[in-house]
Amino acid sequence: MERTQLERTSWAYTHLRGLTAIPGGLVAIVLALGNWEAGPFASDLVVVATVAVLAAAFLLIDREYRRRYGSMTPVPGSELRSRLAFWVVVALVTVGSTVMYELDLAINPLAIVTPIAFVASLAISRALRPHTLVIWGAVLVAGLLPVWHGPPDPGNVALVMCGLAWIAGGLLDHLAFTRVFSAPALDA
Amino acid sequence: MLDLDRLIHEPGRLAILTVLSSVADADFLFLQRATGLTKGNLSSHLSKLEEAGLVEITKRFVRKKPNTSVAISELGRERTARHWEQLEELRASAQAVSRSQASQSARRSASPSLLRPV
Repeated sequence: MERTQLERTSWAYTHLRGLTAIPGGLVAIVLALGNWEAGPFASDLVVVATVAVLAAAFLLIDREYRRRYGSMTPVPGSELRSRLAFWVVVALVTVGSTVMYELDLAINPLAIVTPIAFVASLAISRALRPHTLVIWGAVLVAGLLPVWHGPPDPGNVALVMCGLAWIAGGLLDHLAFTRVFSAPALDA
Repeated sequence: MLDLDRLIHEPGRLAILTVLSSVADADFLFLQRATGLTKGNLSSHLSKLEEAGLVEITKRFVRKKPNTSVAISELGRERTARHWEQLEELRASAQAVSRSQASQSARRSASPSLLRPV
């Protein structure tokens, strides 16, 4: 029996319930499709309805995690870190978006700021994992390439890239989560 | 000679207390998934830990379903931390003994060649 492995279960429960990231990633992609007025997403109503469905999907996935794995309350310090991390993401992405619309740059500020914000928030929450660095690092490198002058709108492409990165990271987090909770049973 | 806490030393109870040390509280299902214990064993261990004052158990209804929430007490936290320290000490001293035995046997195997006539 390893102490760290047992203590890791609470960390995994807090940070690795990755399937909850899928609706979030899809929201980013739907917003981009809405901005492009692609197919049915040309209608604001369809965009809003899709986002509402995805929000419900998030709640269902969260409930399914609780149904299968139970629930726990993290220690107060870690909750504070998570809240701080959330606001770091919000602040950095807001600033990044503003810069993008103010300046006409060949780089893609949203695709640069979002990975930095995510990695910073995960580092604050002590939830940084190698695959996170690889996935968001790829988005950052793409954002830094000087090819973002003119159409298609760099902000929307950044939304799609970030959405896909969020989903991919979430799937890998979920795999790690199931590995942590399928550790050898004491009663086996 | 280390005097290990027999109540905590049982692997199931040590696993429960270790998981609880890293959370504010957890429900029965979470503890079951985290430790791999069966319902019966987990329930029995929790009763013993509650009797000893190492955990606090709250039973309530969440959306009309019974829910058992468990939190480690201050005493439980202290005794679990002390127990892991003792186990670490034991591990370190066992490693030191095995290292010294290995170096002694290496010396013994090297010595005949030194005595061999040239």
